Amino acid sequence: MFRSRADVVFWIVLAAVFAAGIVATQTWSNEYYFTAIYAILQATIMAVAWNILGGFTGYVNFGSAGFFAIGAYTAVALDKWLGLPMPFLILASATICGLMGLGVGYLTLRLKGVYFAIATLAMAIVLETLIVNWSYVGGSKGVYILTPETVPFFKSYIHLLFVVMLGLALAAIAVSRYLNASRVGRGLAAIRDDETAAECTGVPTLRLKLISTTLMGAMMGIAGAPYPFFVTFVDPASAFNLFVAVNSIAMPMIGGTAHWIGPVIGALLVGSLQEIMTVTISSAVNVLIVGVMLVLFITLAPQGIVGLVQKWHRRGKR
Amino acid sequence: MSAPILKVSGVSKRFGGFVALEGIDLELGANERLGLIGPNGSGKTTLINCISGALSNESGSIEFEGQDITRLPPHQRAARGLARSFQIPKPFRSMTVLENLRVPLEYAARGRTEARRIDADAMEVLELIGLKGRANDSSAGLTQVDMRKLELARALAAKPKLLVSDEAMAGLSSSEVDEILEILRALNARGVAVIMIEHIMRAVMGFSERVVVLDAGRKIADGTPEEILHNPDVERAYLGE
Amino acid sequence: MDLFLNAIVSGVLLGAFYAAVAVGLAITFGQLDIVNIAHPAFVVVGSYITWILNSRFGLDPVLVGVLAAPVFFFVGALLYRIYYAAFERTGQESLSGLAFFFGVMFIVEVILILVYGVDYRLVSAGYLGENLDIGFIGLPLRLFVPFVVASAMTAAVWLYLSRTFTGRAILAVAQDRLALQLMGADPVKIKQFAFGLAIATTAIAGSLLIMIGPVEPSLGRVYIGRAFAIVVLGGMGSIPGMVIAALLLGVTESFVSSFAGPSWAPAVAFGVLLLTLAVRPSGLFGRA
Repeated sequence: MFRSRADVVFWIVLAAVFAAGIVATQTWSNEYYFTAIYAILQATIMAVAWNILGGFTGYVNFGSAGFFAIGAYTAVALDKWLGLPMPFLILASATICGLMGLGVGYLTLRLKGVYFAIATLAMAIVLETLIVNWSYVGGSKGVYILTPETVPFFKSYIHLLFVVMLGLALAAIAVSRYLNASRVGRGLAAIRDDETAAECTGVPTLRLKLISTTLMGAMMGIAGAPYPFFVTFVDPASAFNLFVAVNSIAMPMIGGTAHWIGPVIGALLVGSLQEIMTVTISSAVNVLIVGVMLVLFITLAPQGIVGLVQKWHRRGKR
Repeated sequence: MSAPILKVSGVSKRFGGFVALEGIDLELGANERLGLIGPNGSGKTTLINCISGALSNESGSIEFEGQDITRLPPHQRAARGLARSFQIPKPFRSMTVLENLRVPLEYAARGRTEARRIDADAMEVLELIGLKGRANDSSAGLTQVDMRKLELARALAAKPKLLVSDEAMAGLSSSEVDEILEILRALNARGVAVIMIEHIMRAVMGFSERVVVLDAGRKIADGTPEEILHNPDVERAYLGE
Repeated sequence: MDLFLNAIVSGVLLGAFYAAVAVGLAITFGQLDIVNIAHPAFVVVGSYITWILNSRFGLDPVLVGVLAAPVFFFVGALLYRIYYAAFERTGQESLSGLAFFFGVMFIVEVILILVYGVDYRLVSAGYLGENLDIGFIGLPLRLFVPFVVASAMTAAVWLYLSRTFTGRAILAVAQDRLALQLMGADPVKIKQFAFGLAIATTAIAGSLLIMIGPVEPSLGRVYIGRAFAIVVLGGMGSIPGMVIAALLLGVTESFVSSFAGPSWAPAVAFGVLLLTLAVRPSGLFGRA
């Protein structure tokens, strides 16, 4: 954990950000900021999660909305059925979505590249249709969520969820960073670069892919679990929102997929831009902006912002 | 010979209606240099794919060091010491030359390597191959020759007991062919068995202690280079009736 | 029994329409391996153009579709140029291409929302409210006219691809670029033409779509599943296979809709797609 000075710096920054978050809940009065930053934190977890399978391992997942929504609806269903507290809901969502990820991992055996991507999209839509037809969680009409009036330590439930989400996002980033530099991470990179060669140089490709997809699934489920409680109303249209899926792909691609910090940069940059746009112009423009940025970056800067920075760095050295 | 390191018995492989391999029997001694030749399409690469595990054979068995590996996936065969290089090099393009070698050292050779020595071991292999100066270069921008060398280097970094070299010399100049031959001889001198698939006759015949000839999926000859050169079946296979 | 027969009939009518939607994708994805996930979005654009010209000038929807087709052709050719310059020439993985078209799809949908809002749009034409009665089967003209036009268009495309030089060149370019070049045809120009042709079909398909029912900007999404399911199930590169798959899908959806409820309809297409990919990716009639 503390192998180098960079590690120490990283953990200090993480702790500082977390502390700042707690301080913010005690000092800020404008509730809007919490909502806006919550959205960015959620997007960060989704982007980091997506990147584990997409950027590190090279399998593009178009069904992120499916994992997120199942995470959200698992929490809704368990809350309705058993009234479990948030930590258990998060754990349950992580488990269910992790298992989903495991299933998707086995799918990689049969499908490569584009076919895998299309299959994940199909999976998400099928899941959405199942939820739409499941009246226990409100079907297509959606369901309202009751949240506690008072909470220990914090002024409101929103503040509590905000801090929880902040902690989860920082944890996700730490896990992704650890993975990127680990032996498993190097194995994933080998799979991404050439799966056959990886297998023949001793990389247990199936096992690593399963780790990758399960981790991604669990993280996305974790991102989804608090969502219904934060917005207090959830329906399939909002949970399975294509926007969630596109963001989870666009943010890592814009930030840079090979490095753990890429999705973080992408989420912070694009997320902030989107919040500003929503407030100043309209929320429909957001979607346009993500689409345009995705197309621009993919055609002109496929290595993302991290890639551009690395290029300028190298040019500067000469 | 004393217990063979590799024993292929009755291996057959079909693709739909096409029979690529039919009842192949093959044995390889622990430190032997075997050449595998045959006209194009005779099944050499298919046989190698079955041995390395990239393809699964319908019938027959493959034993490595006395253990049946027929059902093992490729990565486990690599871990046991069975390495192969690819005809068309498949470098890990996002990594440097050195990082390419870390993968086999950390995975296939994990049981035979100390974690602290990984980079040192990698540099040793690069030194042997002649790529030491390129250690920190991106593997994506290498010349043809260097890519072939990297391909071999990666197989060597797996610390194998048996190395299959699949047409590592195709398209290289005469001096480059000699460079590769040197590397393989040095490797064999360290105790590694080598199967060489090659079309360059002087290389195969000069290098191999024994040569196996395939034609249309069957083994048609198995003997010393001298015997093979004078075998009428072999002549017929290459030159036609 | 009545319900059963009607389900089959509307299934076949819809299936033929689905084939018209998917034929362009059968060219771009089935033949050229370009994953144009934005294909249904262009169909929706075609619907909107039909709506505008129909409500503004009273033009017949099918006429609008046919008139718009050449314009769409040029748009398609231009889009291919961009795609080629950014991806194919540099040899990028087709995954970047997929993400590219994903972005394009998004941009198209959002522009429609920004300009026209999320309300449903309809067309009106004299014959659309009427039925053609054959025995006890009622053929609603709003389904039957698209059926006829769709079938005609699909047949025309199929004949073009299999009989003309350019058409056969399109079928060939996927399989053997070099041979094509040796025959004196420029593969890039052929692909550009093919892509333009594919997008041109969306103009007509769009005009049919808005005849069948009201259209709003996100309607394209459910057609992604249908179009890809049809192309994959039919077998990449087989137009007759695609037609059969389209009819199968249309009938299956119709039955599910009639007996389980219309809210299950999207799952049919995407479920079929998922199943085909998992079990037999080469489809019913495809090349391996």
